[in-house]
Amino acid sequence: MESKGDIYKLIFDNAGTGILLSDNKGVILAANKAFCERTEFFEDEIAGKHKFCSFIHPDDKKRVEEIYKNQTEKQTSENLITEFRFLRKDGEVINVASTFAFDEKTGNIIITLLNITEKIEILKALKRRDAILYAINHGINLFLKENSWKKVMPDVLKAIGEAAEVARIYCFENSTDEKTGLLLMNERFEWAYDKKASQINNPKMQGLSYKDAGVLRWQEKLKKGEVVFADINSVDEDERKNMEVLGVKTSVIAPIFINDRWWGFAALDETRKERVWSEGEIETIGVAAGMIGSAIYRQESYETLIAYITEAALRIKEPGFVIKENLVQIKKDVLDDIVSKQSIATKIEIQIKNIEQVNRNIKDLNRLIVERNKDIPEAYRHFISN
Amino acid sequence: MDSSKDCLKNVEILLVISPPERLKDNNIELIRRLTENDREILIITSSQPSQYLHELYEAKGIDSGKISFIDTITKFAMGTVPDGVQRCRFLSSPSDLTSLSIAISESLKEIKKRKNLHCL
Repeated sequence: MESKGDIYKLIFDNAGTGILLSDNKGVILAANKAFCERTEFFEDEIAGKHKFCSFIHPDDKKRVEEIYKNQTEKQTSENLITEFRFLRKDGEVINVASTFAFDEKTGNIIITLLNITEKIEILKALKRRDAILYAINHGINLFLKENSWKKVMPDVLKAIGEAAEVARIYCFENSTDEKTGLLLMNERFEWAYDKKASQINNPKMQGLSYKDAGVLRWQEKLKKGEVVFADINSVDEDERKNMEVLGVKTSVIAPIFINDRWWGFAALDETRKERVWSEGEIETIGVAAGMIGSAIYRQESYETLIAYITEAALRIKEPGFVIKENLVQIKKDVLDDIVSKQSIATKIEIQIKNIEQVNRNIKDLNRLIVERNKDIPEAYRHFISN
Repeated sequence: MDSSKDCLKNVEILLVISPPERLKDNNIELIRRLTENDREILIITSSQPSQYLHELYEAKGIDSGKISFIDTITKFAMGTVPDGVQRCRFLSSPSDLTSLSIAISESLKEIKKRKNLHCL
């Protein structure tokens, strides 16, 4: 049978959790295999040569040193799990959950380290998604309070951009090049974390064709209502050139539809670092673009309704006005004697049709009034009665 | 209206707003300038019969050979179309937007080869 020491050595070497042994001054005495694998150190590079705290991220160092000091001074083990950032050999930061146990016999500290980087990233993405949803809710309220969607767009983009923690968020509206028939994009609104990242004053951002920008892939996907994801490391050459020019590392682009018409897109750029977008974040960006499309649609519908009501009310309020003007013109034509009788007769016939239409309109309105129909909009009643 | 003779030379899209009492005179003046600038003109009319406009332009000395019409009102009002109106498509109703769209496409095809097309 193996001795206890052999068994403990077996556990130490093969544990799935990183384990360090350090003395009361914090100098690393031993590191197990799991620790070396996750931090890319060899045991002989650190054992007896470095203090444990020298590998802790500067922002977390003081806090962890205090916990360590507390343990060694009190010479007791506290059942605490401490989270902090640990620096790997290559300088990359990993998030760890750690325990510190004081060994009364030797005065050493046994440290366990569990890599929780992935969990932290998931939590951050969830928090960002919730923050974006909160910003969308804020945006909906702004759009509902204000008749002009254009007026509130800067505030809406700022809220979403800050919530998503991106470098830039912007909206492009589509247009068509009358000469070539190519689909063009035109930057309309933008929020950027600082002025250097802003592109809205770049003249190239107006009337830029999807083709010339190297993003025909976007055009194909966006017009189908799909969200586009672009990472500089995986896009094709034309698209990569466009991203390099703009200093973009990753983008998420969501189409904006007004009813069933593809209006343009909203996009988020990250220029400062590589970034992995969670599915939840990408979905919420699609929701944000949908909200913007709805706001534009709402305003367009409202303006169309007002124009319709105004025109209809004008026609009903002064039904004879247009006909009177036309008859004055016909009289002038007769006196000028420069057009044929046939033309004059046609113009008079058109006025007869106009009178018939006016009669129908008045009849319809009379019927609605008699029936106390609620379909007559309040604005219409107001216009007629003033 | 801008008195400059060159104001219509290089424009592609132009919105003209006129007081109603000046509409007829401004219309004549606009058509005159466009024809003088060697433009092809397609007029879509929903209130004035094309025959009337044709006669009016002729009387005012405008070269009507450069003018085509889509007339949505004459047939609607009269039920028939007059004889002898050149380069004109008559539609049955101003509210028939499908027929209007087809008529515009066909008219544009006909004058596709000509330069400086202007739609009014």
